[in-house]
Amino acid sequence: MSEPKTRFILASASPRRTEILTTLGLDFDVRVPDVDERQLPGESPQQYVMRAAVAKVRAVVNGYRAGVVIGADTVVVIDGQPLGKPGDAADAKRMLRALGGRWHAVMTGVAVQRIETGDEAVDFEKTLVRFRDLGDEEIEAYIATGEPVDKAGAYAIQGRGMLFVTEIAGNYQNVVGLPVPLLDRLVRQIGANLRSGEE
Amino acid sequence: MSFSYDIELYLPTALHGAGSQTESLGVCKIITRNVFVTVTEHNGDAHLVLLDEMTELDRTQPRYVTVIGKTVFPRRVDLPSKIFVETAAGQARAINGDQIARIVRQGGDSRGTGRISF
Repeated sequence: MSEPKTRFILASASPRRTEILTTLGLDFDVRVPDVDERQLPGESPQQYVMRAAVAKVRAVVNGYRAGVVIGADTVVVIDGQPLGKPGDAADAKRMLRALGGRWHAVMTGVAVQRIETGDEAVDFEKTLVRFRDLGDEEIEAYIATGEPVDKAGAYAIQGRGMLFVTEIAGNYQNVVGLPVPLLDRLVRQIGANLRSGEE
Repeated sequence: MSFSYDIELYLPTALHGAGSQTESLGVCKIITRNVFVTVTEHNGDAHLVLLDEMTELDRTQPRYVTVIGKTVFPRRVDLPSKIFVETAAGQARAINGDQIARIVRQGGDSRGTGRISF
């Protein structure tokens, strides 16, 4: 007998996470959670992304009676400091200058909840990314494309930002915003299966 | 290759078809890959056309324009039950195919993908 189909709900406004779940062939809904994404004082980047991921899941779970809710939050970390989404062009320039010629970490917290049981699982994935040296002129040209807006660390590895990346150590999808092996593990932990959500 | 489309949605309370009220969702990128549109001809025959092969689709007429500039007036056109798009604000959004009234490709060369299937 075939496994009953699981309904998945992505608690995220990120088109890249939507694209990853689409690539997996999942039948899912998108709900945009209304949560405060600010880091709390004394909170490590790991704690921050996991707390934010859980908050996103809990913000949308009430609208459903069954299924699995997925939440995620990504930050770029350099010198121990998280870089979220840039507030403006000057902020994006500051971030990209800081990343040029160096390694940085990308951390994504992933949380899942099975609505029927209330079971929840959360963890984070870390990937190291190295940028080549960046000049002010190319940083400004990149910012002018509009791509850095709404991207943690002011770049998109799946977009023009790939030109800056010389090396990567770890899971690539994590840098895009949703580490699939971690998601798969967490979904299994709460007794579900990504394959049972295939269209 | 992903294209951007100006998308108009039927107002939730509006009746579908000619003269119905719509609202603009703005210019969006389609996240869902290989969006197949079911086209039903007046003789009842139905076939699938990739959205990539159209530059314009108007379900209020109904009418669609292909990438080689041919305008077709079938009996009806149906989009998939769910399509994910990225709005101009950079947010992902799920749209029910029935909600879509009009969709017009924006920018780029609209001719010659070389994959006309009908």
